[in-house]
Amino acid sequence: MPPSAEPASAGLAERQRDLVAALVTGAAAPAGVPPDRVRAQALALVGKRARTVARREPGLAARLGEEFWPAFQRYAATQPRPPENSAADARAFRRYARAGRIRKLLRGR
Amino acid sequence: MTALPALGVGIGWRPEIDLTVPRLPGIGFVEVIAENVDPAAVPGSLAALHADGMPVLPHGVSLSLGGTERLDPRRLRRLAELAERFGSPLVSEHVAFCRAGGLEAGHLLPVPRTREALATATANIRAAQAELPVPLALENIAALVSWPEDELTEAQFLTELVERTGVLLLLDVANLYAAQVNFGTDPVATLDRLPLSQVGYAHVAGGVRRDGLWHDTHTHPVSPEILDVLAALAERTALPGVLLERDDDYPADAELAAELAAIRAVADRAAVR
Repeated sequence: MPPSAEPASAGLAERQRDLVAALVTGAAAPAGVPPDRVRAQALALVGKRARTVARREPGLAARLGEEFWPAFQRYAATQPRPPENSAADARAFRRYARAGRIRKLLRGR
Repeated sequence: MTALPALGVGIGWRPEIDLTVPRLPGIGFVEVIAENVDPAAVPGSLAALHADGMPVLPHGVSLSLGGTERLDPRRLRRLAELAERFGSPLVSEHVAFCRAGGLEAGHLLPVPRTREALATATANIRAAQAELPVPLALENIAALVSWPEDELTEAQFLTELVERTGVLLLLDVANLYAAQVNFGTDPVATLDRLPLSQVGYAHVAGGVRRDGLWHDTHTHPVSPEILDVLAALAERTALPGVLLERDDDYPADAELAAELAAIRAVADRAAVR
């Protein structure tokens, strides 16, 4: 993917938007920002979301067990954190877990 | 300048450790995450702690003072209302942005340290200060990414903000250590370039090194390297307070007490030198 903007010409708002987009939607890293660092930050963000959701949904986290983290990573790859709050994130992940292939896993247990 | 309040050693109050906090020896103050405490419905355990005389400092994590979007008046009002509810001597936030272009990062992100970002943050800080009933302190964040357009060092950027707005500093020594691991910035050199008389208090927290990067997790014990930065800070200024941040993986009460004692020992030893 081509760089999204030149650092010298892009304004602050654009640069900040590019970084958030790279972190939460998987867009290309902002020009001049090392992609490996952006990936590390994105992974850390998903980990933080996952811990928060697990705290809000302990029953679901327990039922998913070791499947929780991979399932959450798949969910987060398609769904940026809702702007409202972490409760909305937890609700959305619950819906995702119910709807997807996870449902079979839950039924099988 | 009026003297900053003496706070002592504190801990981040969290609902999961609400019964532990009052039992920990020698706690001088607590900090609450502003986004998680409704001033109109303060949890009973926190209200009781405060009623027993414990200072409570609101700590915001989502105001996005470094962002280009207008400050959210609800988030700002929440900080002000918490400060009033608890009679807090100060409130704190971060030099960071949290959202942009309609997307929420859910985290504190570093602003490019440019003149443009400095002007933006200055305007936001002044707008926040106008709405807050008590002084505002700003914290340096732990970052994994940095911007190629940075014109100023972190010390220069923070110093400029202090000079332009009179804002206090909440110096996170773990985040200074993170800057050393992640960007090669010497924490002691940063300390020597900051207006340390403006430090309202300090943060200490544990983290972990993963793939060569320091992650400020708040779930790991505080490592000796971070206590060394705390010692260097305490040697350089009469530190009004130092607070341990712990999240998620809470250790046993005794372990938490030992960690606080270690922090106190470092701060006290350095201060008498």
